[in-house]
Amino acid sequence: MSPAKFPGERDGYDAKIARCIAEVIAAIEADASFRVPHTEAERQNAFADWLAAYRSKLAPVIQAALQSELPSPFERQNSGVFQDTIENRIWPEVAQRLRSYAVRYQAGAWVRQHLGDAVTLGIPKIRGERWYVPLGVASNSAHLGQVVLDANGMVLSDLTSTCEQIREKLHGRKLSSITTAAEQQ
Amino acid sequence: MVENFRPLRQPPSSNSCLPTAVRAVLLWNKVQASPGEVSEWCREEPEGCVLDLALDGLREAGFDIEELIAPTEAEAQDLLRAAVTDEEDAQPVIATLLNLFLSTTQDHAVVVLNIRQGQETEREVVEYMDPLTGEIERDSSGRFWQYWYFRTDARFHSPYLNSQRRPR
Repeated sequence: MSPAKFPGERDGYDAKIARCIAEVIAAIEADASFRVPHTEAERQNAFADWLAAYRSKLAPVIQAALQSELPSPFERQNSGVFQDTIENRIWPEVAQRLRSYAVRYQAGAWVRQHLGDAVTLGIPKIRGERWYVPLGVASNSAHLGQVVLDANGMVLSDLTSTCEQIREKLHGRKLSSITTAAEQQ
Repeated sequence: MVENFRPLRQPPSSNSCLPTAVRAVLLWNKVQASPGEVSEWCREEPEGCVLDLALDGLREAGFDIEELIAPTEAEAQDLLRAAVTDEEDAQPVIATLLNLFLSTTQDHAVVVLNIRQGQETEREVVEYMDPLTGEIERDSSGRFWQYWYFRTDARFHSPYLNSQRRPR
């Protein structure tokens, strides 16, 4: 008799979990009713209340994704393993993605007020307790700066690129592809 | 709904969606302005337009800007609906959109012209001029509302505006 295998030891198990996560994220992005938190209360404690609401809403989606990836009787009937997988493997990744949308929205609001609407936002990355959102300018893939935010999505101005810094990089690169309507006259 | 609105297309490879949207609204208001003039009023730079600075510039050029401000998305939607569907005085409204799901994303200004119930489905249809395509686009998926940037924080101005020339 071969020794019992646990999910973490099975071949391809990580790939199944990754597919589950991708399926849940695809469901979020397909949902036109999805909204990032718009109030400060929803953003407190690293978006805890907002995430809790989405955890409930997404529970059936996560359950269905996991069931489709782990179809064997053992995996389905072992509810402890099932719940543990959701709790420790799937939800943390989904929650982090949700936070990144919320952070990006906050960064966008800051950019809108301080920089300009040609400034592009990349994918937020978290390091420690801080979020870093890379900035660029449309028609140019260069990294021109960043918006740094705390865990609640508040912009940390001291660590965030200024308009002057971005302009310096822009003009230093002589981006002739970026023109304004006035210049096109 | 807003009628007789002439769609405009922003110059290729430019980021001039806001000046183009503003110019389209001005033309609808029978105000002749060149792209260069509007760009200047909107204080357009290679980094694009900062909405607050653009509003300041337009006000200095003699235009009245009405900013529609509401504390929640639902109330903001009601204001927008009321502005573009007023039976006696429907007005085009410039709105800002941001798609959070793209790998690289940026603000995009459009002009909302109508919000109505769909004929074949019960879903609401938002009609807007998209400066990127220079066409009147229609969205019944709900994505417009998802991408729509409205501000709840009192420190900010509202993102959508309605430009009319002030009598000089």
